[in-house]
Amino acid sequence: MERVLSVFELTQTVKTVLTRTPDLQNVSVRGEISNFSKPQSGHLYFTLKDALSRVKVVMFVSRTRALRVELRDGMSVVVKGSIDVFERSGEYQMYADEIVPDGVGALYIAYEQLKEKLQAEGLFEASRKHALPTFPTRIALVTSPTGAAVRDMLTTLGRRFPLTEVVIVPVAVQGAEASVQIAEGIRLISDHNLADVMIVGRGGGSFEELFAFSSELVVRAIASSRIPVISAVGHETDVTLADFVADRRAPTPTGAAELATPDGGALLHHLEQAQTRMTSTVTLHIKQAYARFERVASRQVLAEPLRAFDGFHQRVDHLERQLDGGVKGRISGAVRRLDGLELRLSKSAPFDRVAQMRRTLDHLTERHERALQRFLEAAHQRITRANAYLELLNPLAVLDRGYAVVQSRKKDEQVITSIAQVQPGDAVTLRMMDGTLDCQVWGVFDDEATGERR
Amino acid sequence: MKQQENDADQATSSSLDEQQVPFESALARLEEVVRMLESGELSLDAALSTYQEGMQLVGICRARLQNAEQRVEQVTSSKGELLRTAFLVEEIKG
Repeated sequence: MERVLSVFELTQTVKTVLTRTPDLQNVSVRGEISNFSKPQSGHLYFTLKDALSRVKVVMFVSRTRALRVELRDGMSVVVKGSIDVFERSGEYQMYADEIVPDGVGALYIAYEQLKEKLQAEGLFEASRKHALPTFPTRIALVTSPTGAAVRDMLTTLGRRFPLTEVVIVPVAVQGAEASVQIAEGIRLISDHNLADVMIVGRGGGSFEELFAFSSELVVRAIASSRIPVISAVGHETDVTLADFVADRRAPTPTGAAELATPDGGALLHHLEQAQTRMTSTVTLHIKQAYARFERVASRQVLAEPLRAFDGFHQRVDHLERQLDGGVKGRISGAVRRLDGLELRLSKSAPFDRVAQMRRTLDHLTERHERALQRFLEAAHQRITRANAYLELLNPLAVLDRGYAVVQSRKKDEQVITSIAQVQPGDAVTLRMMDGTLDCQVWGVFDDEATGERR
Repeated sequence: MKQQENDADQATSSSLDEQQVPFESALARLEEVVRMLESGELSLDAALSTYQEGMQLVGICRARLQNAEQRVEQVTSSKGELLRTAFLVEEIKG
């Protein structure tokens, strides 16, 4: 009796046969993609078919990094990989390691060889790359003047930063002439300094359609451009040699327009913020200045500026009285003596002698008055000098000469005259002629201790 | 009517500034002005005039951003001669 297998055992047997057949473990199959799907996992699934048959193909996400084209239904490709059985469904399928578009094998080889050569020349080095201007004045677009790419770029540029002028250098982006035209366009902009940044690109297309952007002519034109170049070819997944050599690579033409320009909306917001910050800073400044003014204006020396002189004025008044009293006393004494003499004369002498004595007396009186006059003048001069001296003592005038008043900030703004009044770390206010300084005491040094006292 | 005349006067006087100062320089100066004001090192007089300058720069930058109209031209070369033509954006906008 024949042995009956379970389904699983059968599948295992088939799997063993397939995986042990070398021809099936390294095989290339040509066909057309259909039912292409790329779920969240990133693995790629599709059916490879030709007119007569079909096979399921899986490419795991770990392999997809090597893909240089975006796979689509209807695309003719060559899949390289191995054959195995998917046990759950019992179906055999192909596990792809590489997928390249069919019919462009020669282009691929050319691409790889050129890439290697240019890389060896150092054309893709990061050190060769130019920085993009932050606020470009003019942007040049080397692209087809028709089609979605140029429209997308103009829309994005106009929306973000319309201040930037746009120069379009129309070129063919596919076909026999494309690489020559693109390279010439790049050189035209660089040679005539037509812009301060340029975008070289086009919308999506097949590997062959994008191939001009991987041509040596275009790559070398980008490498020798004196103006920074952003490459923007096809979609995110399309990689051309222009992307390697360009100063920046954009995933799409729209992305390139965004890379090239600052965000106008963000700038307006930035302006708004600058305005708010300036206004609040200045408002605070004015408030502080006013508070300072209030503080100074309320100080006694300004509120009652003459109060400081009161004591001196009293002394001056007193001196004046003393002066007056002294002089007047002495004069009146003299007059009394003269009167006495006159009396004695009038009693004891002849009239002519009395008359003579009277003249003498008048003369003496006159001399006394002149002396008094001179004395008072001298006294006034002394008072004027005293006043000038007082002016020197005026506390405001002292500040004016560069001295400062040190005031404590904790003890009711007490004026500090001795080191004994402060400790290191104390906050003090230095009152200058035109304002105050907030200071902190770093150290206290006794002159006696340091021997510096004069 | 009078208001319009004033506006026009202001436009002509400030458009001189606007055209002479590149946007980037105006913005850089504005940033410097904000920094100076915020440093608190300016006297009140200097702060006020700096503030005035800052507000003027905000006005210039904002006006330039908001009033700018995209200018697009097409450049081709024919026997070494540059040929500049208008690029009609409208045609491709539809």
